[in-house]
Amino acid sequence: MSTENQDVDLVGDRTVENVVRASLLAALTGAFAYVVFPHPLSPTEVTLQVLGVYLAGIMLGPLWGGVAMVVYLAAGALGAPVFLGGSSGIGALLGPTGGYLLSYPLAAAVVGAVVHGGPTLRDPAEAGLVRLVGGMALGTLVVYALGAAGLLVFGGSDIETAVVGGALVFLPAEALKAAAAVGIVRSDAIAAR
Amino acid sequence: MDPRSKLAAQAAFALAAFVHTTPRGLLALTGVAALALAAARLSPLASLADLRVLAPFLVALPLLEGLTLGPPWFSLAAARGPALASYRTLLVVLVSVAYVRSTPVRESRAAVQWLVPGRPGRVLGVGVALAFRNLAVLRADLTRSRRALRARLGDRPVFRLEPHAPGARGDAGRPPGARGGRRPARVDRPVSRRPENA
Repeated sequence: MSTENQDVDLVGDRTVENVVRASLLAALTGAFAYVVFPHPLSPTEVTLQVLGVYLAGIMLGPLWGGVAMVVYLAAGALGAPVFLGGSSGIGALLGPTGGYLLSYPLAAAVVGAVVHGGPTLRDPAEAGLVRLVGGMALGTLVVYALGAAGLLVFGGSDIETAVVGGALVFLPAEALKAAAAVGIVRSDAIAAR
Repeated sequence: MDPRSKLAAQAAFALAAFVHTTPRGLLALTGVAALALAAARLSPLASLADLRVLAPFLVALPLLEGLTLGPPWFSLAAARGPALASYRTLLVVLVSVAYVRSTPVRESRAAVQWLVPGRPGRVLGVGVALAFRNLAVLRADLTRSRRALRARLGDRPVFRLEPHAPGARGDAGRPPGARGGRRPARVDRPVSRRPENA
């Protein structure tokens, strides 16, 4: 009978907590893909995925918020039904909506960096409203700039269609999601400590 | 086939599709995609169901790009690029469906940990495995919330859950009278805490 010896590095409690939180936020973003609202100005529907991006940045900060979204994308690429309407696979990342999805790690990191004012985590409930809204506004800018770029590169669209049809018409819905994120952060229902 | 080879084959297919987005190149890649589906023992028609969420984009983009504000009202030359890009997306999605349907999650996780060496790979592998497990729990929570909203608001649409969500199909078989719109069976009222012998 053969035996195998392997060195195992001890993992700190803090890392374990962060990995679990990141995977939870990744799964939450995936679950938000199932909540859809009709959009009168677009052939597709609006989902709550970007709310997951906001919450990842706000709750986990720039580093682990970004990691959470990388986990989300990896889980979806490997078959978890977490993309628009429960789809999955690498094909979703390389299709017309791929730019939005690929922007999520960067957007979560931007939201986290602004809300926490750097890599050190603070209590998000104590962050000022301007900081919260400013962080989410910058995150939205990242999502829709890269989303429009994705429509250009992956969808073969021209720049006017990408900016107007792929970004501007969705901004009012994003404002509502940002308002929801502020409400969630200011409530006592959840804590990230 | 080893999941690492499958991932490499997917990446090579996507790269080839982006480099050769021409009618001839995409025709050749259609054959490769058909082979991938056959190897995974999947029906092309059943696999196309995964495209339903992307379909509005794939159809609308060529149509929007082709529309002109005067005669002849539609330009085939302008619609050609987006149409080829849409067909490219269709092929890449079909190949990724073949991977997803033929590869167990644990094998994919092992492939990711091999692909990304060291601690980042282990974090990613554990994170992906936990995300798979957490997703089922959160989807069940969403379904419960939806049922609670229906109990309070009847059939007024607040948000819709995609049919993939567990329980979303569960209401379909019920008689119409049993779906939403009902008053709560019991209304909790504040109860006075006066002692019984007062």
